[in-house]
Amino acid sequence: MHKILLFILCVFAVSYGIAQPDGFTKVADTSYIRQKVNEMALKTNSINTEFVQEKNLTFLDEKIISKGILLYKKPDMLRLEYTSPYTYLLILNNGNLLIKSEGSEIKVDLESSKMFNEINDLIINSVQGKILNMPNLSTEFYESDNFFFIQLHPEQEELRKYIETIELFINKNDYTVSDFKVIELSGDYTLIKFINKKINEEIPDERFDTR
Amino acid sequence: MKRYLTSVLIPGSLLLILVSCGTLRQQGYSRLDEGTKYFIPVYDTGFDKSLYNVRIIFGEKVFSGLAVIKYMPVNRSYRLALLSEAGLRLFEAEFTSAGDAKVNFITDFLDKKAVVKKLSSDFALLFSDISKNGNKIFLKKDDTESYVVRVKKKGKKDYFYSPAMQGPEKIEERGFPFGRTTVLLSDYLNNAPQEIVFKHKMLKFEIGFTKINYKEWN
Repeated sequence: MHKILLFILCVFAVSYGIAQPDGFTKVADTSYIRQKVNEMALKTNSINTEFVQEKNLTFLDEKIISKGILLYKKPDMLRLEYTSPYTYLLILNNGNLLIKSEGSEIKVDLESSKMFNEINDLIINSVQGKILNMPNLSTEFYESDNFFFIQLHPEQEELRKYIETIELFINKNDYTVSDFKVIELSGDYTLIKFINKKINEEIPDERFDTR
Repeated sequence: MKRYLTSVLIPGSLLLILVSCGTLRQQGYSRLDEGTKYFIPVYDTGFDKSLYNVRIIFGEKVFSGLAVIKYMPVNRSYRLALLSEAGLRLFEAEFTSAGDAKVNFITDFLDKKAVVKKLSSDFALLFSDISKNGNKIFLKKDDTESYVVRVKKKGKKDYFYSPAMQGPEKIEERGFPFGRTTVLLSDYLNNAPQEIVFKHKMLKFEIGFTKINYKEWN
């Protein structure tokens, strides 16, 4: 009986270990990482980056790959534009949300929508790295030579209905988010990789026009 | 007298009306034995998977998203997932060629009994293989070589075929409590339609699928 229990514990220990990527070790004191990320967020006035999104569905043997451009400008302007294989545009600006997709356009006043407001906070905070400061998310930090790997587990019941874990890879060179992964309860996940990132480049306000 | 009216005359009259309507609806149709003719299903043999843009109009609101449809050869079933463009899964179900549906996931804000039932029954129309599964089949032809296949199983469904199409161009289902559902299908390519529109006579609820040219899957 003890042998069976030991075997089960070992299996769980191995499973637990798999959540940590190869080549990463757990960070005990995370205060300096939080400080560096916050410093970078303070210094970041704009981000202009391409992204590649991988959607993994457990019943599919291939991922759905989409590409686009993300623009961010302080304090709360965001343009998320998918360009391939479908077109989709989301603009957040000063409490307003505009969504344009194939044949439809939606405008939302965020003040009147709690759900969109929460999504707004999550996106803006993720782009800036401020997600680490958000309440109701427990965190685990790991590091390799080039990256910090951070797992965030939602503690809020509403978020836990959809999301198992959020994972971030933060580049040690510039303390910005390079990969953002949302793992759903079913095991499906969405991974967004930010590439060709340009920090503090001038971006005209017109790119965030929600009218 | 009143008792005679309520217990005999009114139900009897209603029964007569129903029987008359039923007979009228069968006019022009002839019964086919199962297996005597093959009717191409919406997703024909050889179909593997497709990615669609989805547009949902509900009342005055318009939503958009993506749909993934995949044939599962092991179970001989189809999986359909609705996703947001950013990847969040909203609905996922498995459908058999016999017209059965099993919902595996529905997001919290859509999780209403009527919504689940409507989405399941609508999407099940895409995956039913009417040539099989012990259906009662009636056929009506016209002068243009087009024909209508009426299937009686779990309600009444009409499949409209024209000679130019590689699958049904329209499916109509009459059912309680939502009334008539019409599915318009067009531009068949590689054993799958490129455009699908679900319309509902009694509801301001429309779902449109447009196939995405996703070269990795084509």
